[in-house]
Amino acid sequence: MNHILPLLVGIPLGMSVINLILSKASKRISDVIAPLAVLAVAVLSFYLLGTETTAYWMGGWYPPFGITLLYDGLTSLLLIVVNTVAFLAIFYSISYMEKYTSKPKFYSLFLLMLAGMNGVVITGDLFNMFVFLEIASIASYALVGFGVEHEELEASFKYLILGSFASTMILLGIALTYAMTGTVNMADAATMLQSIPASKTMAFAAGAFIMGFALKSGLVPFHAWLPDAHPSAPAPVSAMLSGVLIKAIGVYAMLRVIFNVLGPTAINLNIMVVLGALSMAVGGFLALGQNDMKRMLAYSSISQIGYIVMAFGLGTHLGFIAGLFHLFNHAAFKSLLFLSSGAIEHATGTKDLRRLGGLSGKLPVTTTTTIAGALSISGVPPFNGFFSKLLIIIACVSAGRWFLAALAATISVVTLIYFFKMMRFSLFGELPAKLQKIREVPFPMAFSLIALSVICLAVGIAYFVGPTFSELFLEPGANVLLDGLKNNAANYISSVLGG
Amino acid sequence: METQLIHLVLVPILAGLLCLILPKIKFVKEFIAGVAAIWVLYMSVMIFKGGDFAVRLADFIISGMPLSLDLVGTPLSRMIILFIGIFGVLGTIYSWKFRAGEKGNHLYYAMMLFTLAVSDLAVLSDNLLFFVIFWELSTLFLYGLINCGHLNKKAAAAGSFRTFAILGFSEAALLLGVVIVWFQFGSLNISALSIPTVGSMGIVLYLLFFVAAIAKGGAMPLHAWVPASAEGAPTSIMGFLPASLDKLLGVYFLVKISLDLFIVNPGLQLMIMIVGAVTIIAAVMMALVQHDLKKLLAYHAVSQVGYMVLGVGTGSIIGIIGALFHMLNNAIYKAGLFYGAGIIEKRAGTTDLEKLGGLAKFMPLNFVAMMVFALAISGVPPLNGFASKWMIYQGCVEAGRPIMLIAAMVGSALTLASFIKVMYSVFFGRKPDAIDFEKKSSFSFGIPQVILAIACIALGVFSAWPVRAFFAPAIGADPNTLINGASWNSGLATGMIIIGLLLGIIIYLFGKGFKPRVAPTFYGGEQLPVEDIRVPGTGFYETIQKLPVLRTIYRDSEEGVWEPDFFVATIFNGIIVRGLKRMHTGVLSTYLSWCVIGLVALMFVLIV
Repeated sequence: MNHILPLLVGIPLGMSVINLILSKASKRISDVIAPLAVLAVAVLSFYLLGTETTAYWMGGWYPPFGITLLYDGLTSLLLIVVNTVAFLAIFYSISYMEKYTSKPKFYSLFLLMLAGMNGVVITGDLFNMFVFLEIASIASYALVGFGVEHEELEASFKYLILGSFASTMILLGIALTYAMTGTVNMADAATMLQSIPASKTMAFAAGAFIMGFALKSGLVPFHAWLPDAHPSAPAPVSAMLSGVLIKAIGVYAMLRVIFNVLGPTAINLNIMVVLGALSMAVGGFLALGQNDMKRMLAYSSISQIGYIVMAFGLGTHLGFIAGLFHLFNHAAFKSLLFLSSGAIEHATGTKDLRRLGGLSGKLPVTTTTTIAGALSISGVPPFNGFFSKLLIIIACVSAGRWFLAALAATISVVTLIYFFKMMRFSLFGELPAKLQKIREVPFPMAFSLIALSVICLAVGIAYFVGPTFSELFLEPGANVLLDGLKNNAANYISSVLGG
Repeated sequence: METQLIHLVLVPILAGLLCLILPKIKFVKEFIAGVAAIWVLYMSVMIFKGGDFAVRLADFIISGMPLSLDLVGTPLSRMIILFIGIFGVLGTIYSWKFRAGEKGNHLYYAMMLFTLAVSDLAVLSDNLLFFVIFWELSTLFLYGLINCGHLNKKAAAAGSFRTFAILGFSEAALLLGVVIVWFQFGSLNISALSIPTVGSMGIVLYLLFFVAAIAKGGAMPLHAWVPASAEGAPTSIMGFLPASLDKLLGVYFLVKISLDLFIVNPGLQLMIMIVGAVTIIAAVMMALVQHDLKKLLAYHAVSQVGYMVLGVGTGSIIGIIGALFHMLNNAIYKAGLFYGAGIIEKRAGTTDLEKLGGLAKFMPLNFVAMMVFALAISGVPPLNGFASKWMIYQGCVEAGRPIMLIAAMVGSALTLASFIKVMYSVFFGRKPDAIDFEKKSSFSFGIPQVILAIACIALGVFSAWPVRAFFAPAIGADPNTLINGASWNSGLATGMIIIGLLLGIIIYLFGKGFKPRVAPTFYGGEQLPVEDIRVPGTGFYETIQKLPVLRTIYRDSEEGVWEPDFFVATIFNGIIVRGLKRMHTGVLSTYLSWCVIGLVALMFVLIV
């Protein structure tokens, strides 16, 4: 079973090169092989679901010398989220990316980004994580600027500079950890760190790690690149960036490093709570003031990531469940909303809310999916967002953090308000004269939109109806974090170092 | 019982979905909505007559915590269900004509039916969490329905936004309260809880619930959404939701939390009474100076909630029964007044009091009905408004709060004054030439008006019957001691007032009543022909507006200074949102410096 693990990185990485070569022969061929490659990876990640925690030692080199890949509860959730969204996004791109030149290059960059994300998720090695993180980041810089218009290049440049700052800090953190422990294997480093007394060097390293990952996840005050970068990218890329990238290379990486390597001390958890709560509030208020649909979505991502990070920072079992569930849900509805906004832009040529209106009569599919996404994110039952937000509020109350509970409840209303603003301006009201001749989007786009809407609704109902969903997806991940919290990551260390 | 409950909920939902998907054929949606509403009413009657019940529809476990969807029929909730059913039917029938030929009727009828279903579910839910869900869903549909207004789209958008913001925040408070209750007291079932309001925890919890109840009911200081949505919302919806259904829900919840869920302490009771009394007076003062019929009615809707809140606040049985009775009465005449305003809007094309006048002879039925409603809302015997207000006065006396009694009575007098202005401006005087009456009224306009007017009279004349049948059982009081005992007897007062009225008529008839003095009008030394003179009623009470202290208050309230959500919105929008937006300049060096500052702060926290 564990022999599948390298394929999760290998397939997209290999196909990104093969795709470029084959596309010289025929451009159409990329439309087939790139989505198929992602589909294969997505199927594999579902195939792995439910397997026991298992490690794979690359080339038979045992830790701490070789690279270790690890599959556990947290990995399984992230792999499913990343690859499902990736497949739907790339399938959507088949028609959406028609208007851009050099579509094959887009596919290659997309596959590269996916390879990087999968790599970050499954690796058990700090330096290896950094390499994959850079692969994903650099591919995403290029994808943000893919339209090569003035605005896109500017956004991409900002993203590049700030992203490199974060990468530098992460590398610094890795270097300091290596200096203190003499190893870059996460489990090995964790064992070493538990045996030596706490030092200022490691505190500095922790700060560097947290800052780096916080920037990659778009937490306030490191968020400034996100509202420029996410709206400028082509819609499927925005969906990937907001839906999964900030979670895989930001939140997930932060969780791994804090819970499995540095140790979830009270101060680390409190930093997560503060950063999360700040992002939740600031992102929410900024979203309220936007008139550009995609920009509003980008700010809302900051706010929602805040919810997720805050829930993890509570350091309780319920908090972990709530955080993982919201992470899962946010991936679904935020990519749905970005893809829907892309569909609206595709049909009308604008994303300015003030120039839209009355689309419900002309674009039935897009309208339905936009409503589904907006209702999910603003927490209207029975959509999935309602349950995860409710869980986060409950987790705050059960942890005795009344203020956070009140803040989370307030911001959820703010979210409701700006999504209703978005729906009213774009979907209902008067259809502007210019938009009389618009047409519904083609099949691949519609398919992805509908699939994600169904996921949003089905997950909400599935969670409500019985414990199966939670047991299959959320509990294993929460147990990994609990192991880090209560058990000094003993299970993690033993499964990586194994035999 | 299960079958009836399932019908009560599923029929409107399925019918609503049918309205959404059916092709656009004339009268189909109207027909479906009407049949579904009547079916819901039928089921409501069955449920009301069927006695108490407790049904567990579903059992869930969320993250290890048990959660059950219990529907519980108590005398109170069964009564509210019945009223919701009645107003559902009237609202639907009225909408047939009012919404004829408008766009988006499939959405309109679907949302009306959904509102019926979620309101019923909210009232029957014993589980607080499900209560919150259904309560919020009813707000969502209210938002959608206000947006169905086509006459003044901007006002509809602004009103719905305000509604959503105020109700949304009050619901966030409610949700927070519910989660805290869950963790502090280990249960979500209203019937299993009885929370003492001693100590800060109990009081804060009560306030969180109280905020949601008065926001939905529309009492001050969370009232601003009612007049704001009156400007743009379809008038049929104003009559259906803010005037009747939302009042039913809000007062139901207020009674529920004050009697069942919490044990309210005397300090809180006083606070509730103050909220009620201030609402009565302040809202009616605002109503006095309005120039738009719908907005004026909306302020009266706010003012009337004050009576109900006051009644609940007295904590005496008669006061609470009075509040519930007033809830029904208000829903009846306020729905009637809004429906009347809707007829005027459809047939005269405006609700601006300045542009109306002399309509009594063109719409006699509506005139008579509106007259009944106006007298009822002003508390003139023997109409229903008097009966319930009288009970609330009695409640104030029993609670030993003469100041509250005075506030309530003054409010009643001012209401009468305000409706004199309305009736004069709309129905008397000369008809402006701009209005022409070719459009005919219709059956579906008349039916609800007639039913509501008859109800006003019947509930007033036979006021002992509803108390015996509905309200006393609803809070478990013995009706006989109430009616026969010394605590409630409006017969004497009614008699006195009727004698007074007769005396007035006699004096009028034998005085100069028959011989009005006719004199020519002078204007700048010139005589004006009589035909040119039309005195609109909007000039009434302008003197009040110009009194020294009131002048400032009125001016400030025009600017929204007295509405707390206005303050909050200014702070949020003006300071936080705009301030944050201004910080995001797009300059890379600024952004980099934020990162560096953030990093330094992190290091400081971690290392020092």
